[in-house]
Amino acid sequence: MLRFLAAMMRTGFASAIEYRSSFFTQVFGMMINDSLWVTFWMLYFQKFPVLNGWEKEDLFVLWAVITFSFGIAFGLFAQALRLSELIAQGQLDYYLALPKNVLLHILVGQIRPANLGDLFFGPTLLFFFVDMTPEKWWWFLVGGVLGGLVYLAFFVMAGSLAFYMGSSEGISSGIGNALIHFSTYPTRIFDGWTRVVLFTLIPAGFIAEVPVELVRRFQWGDLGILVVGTAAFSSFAWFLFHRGLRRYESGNLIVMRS
Amino acid sequence: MIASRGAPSLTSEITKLVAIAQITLRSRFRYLWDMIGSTLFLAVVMFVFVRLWTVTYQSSAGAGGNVKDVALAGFSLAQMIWYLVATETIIMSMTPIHRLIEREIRDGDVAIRLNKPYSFLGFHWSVFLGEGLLKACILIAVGGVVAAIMVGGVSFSLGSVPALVLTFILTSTLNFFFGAMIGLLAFWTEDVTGFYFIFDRVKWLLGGFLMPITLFPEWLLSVVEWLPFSLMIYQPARLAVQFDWNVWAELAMKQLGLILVLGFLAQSMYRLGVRRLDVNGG
Repeated sequence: MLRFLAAMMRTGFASAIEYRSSFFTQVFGMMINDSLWVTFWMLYFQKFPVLNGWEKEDLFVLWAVITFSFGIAFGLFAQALRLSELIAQGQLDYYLALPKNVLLHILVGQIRPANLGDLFFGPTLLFFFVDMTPEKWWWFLVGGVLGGLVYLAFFVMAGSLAFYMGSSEGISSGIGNALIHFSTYPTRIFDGWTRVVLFTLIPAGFIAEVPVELVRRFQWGDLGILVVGTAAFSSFAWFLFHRGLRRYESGNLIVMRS
Repeated sequence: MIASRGAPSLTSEITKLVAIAQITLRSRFRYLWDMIGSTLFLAVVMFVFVRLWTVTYQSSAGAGGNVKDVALAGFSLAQMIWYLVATETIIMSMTPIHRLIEREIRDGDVAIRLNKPYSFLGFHWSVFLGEGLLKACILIAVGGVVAAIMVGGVSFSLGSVPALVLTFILTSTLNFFFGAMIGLLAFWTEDVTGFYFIFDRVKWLLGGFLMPITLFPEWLLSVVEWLPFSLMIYQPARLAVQFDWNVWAELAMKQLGLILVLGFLAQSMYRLGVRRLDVNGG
């Protein structure tokens, strides 16, 4: 299975880099996009140095973690963003006819250069702006990968709604954007029921809070919470997709794979 | 008769563009609910902004202080939130014009418009404005409901509405030319996504999209005041929450001046680009 994933990603990467100037423009463009968001927070913290116990460096860790996670999820598994469209238009036939797992095959079908920019941005930000130790780098990698899996699982769940609702592109992208938006702000600004929502319905807490805490001050309890949360969301996404696949109807389309 | 079929007069050009905007408006009305659904994301955005700025105002008020007594950069908490409703309305009401123009150039569809009796940029501006006006009404309604529930209203005069509509049209036009110029780069490059990320996010940051530019440090504020971005976001949004006729007139003059400059640049880019155009097939 790992050999299959690696081979698919190699092919996807070769295909993406075929248009070299476009590839590098997208990668660097996204890195500049991310750095401008970080600049906004630098300006904010220059005016207001503490935000509910968080300081500028904590925000750098947050942005490093979420961009790295986002890069893993959608730079390497870009088709997760198009899942509802593929289902609604009946474009899964190609994957159904092959002996590999349908969901994995769909997910690794495309590399997205712009989000590879996110993937590179996170470690770069930490390298230049945060005082890191080898231990912190390790927990950054662990937290980032697990956060990426939560992003991926959530988008698979959102995309799988198309099996049950037909055309769900609007609602799928809407709830996906809600997760992205919540995860780009320190979850410490939320309280009460909102925090419950951020660890259940819109799991931004597993992306923007727990991985950041792993880097800031590691605790085994936080790691346990993150592992259990990631496993739960990934399993539910797997279940929801394969359950929905039984309801799939082909569009009888002849499509070109790119 | 032959003379009358020469270069179209300005009046007939405007009539065509207004007709295109009306057609766009009518066609988008058919998908009103889809549009309302897609703008519900603004409710999430506003919810997060309200929490961020409430916490900020609370910490500025200090223990035992009243948030309502705090003003940051001349904005009360309610004004700050309504300012953000206005900036979100300006930005989210815009269709991604750079992408549309890029696609038309890359796919060769631009050739279809070459023999039409209207200008390429004029056509896209009319569609952009027609859709933008409808979206803006929905966005103000959605954002306004969230803001009103969470922080209450701000003082507002109904008499300022026509002036603000005109400011919105001028602001949209500025943003249109800015986005169109990015899209027109497709005549020279394979993909404009990278340029879009850079230029558009610089506009967001230095235009005051996420927070008023008056919160910037002095050195940056003195730079930003010389750049055009605040005319595209900060100044019109501030006018919406702190309306003043003198400020409105001054802003309108500045925006008109910048529209002439950007419009000229965009048209020049289009003319230069069309000369390089090769379209194969039919």
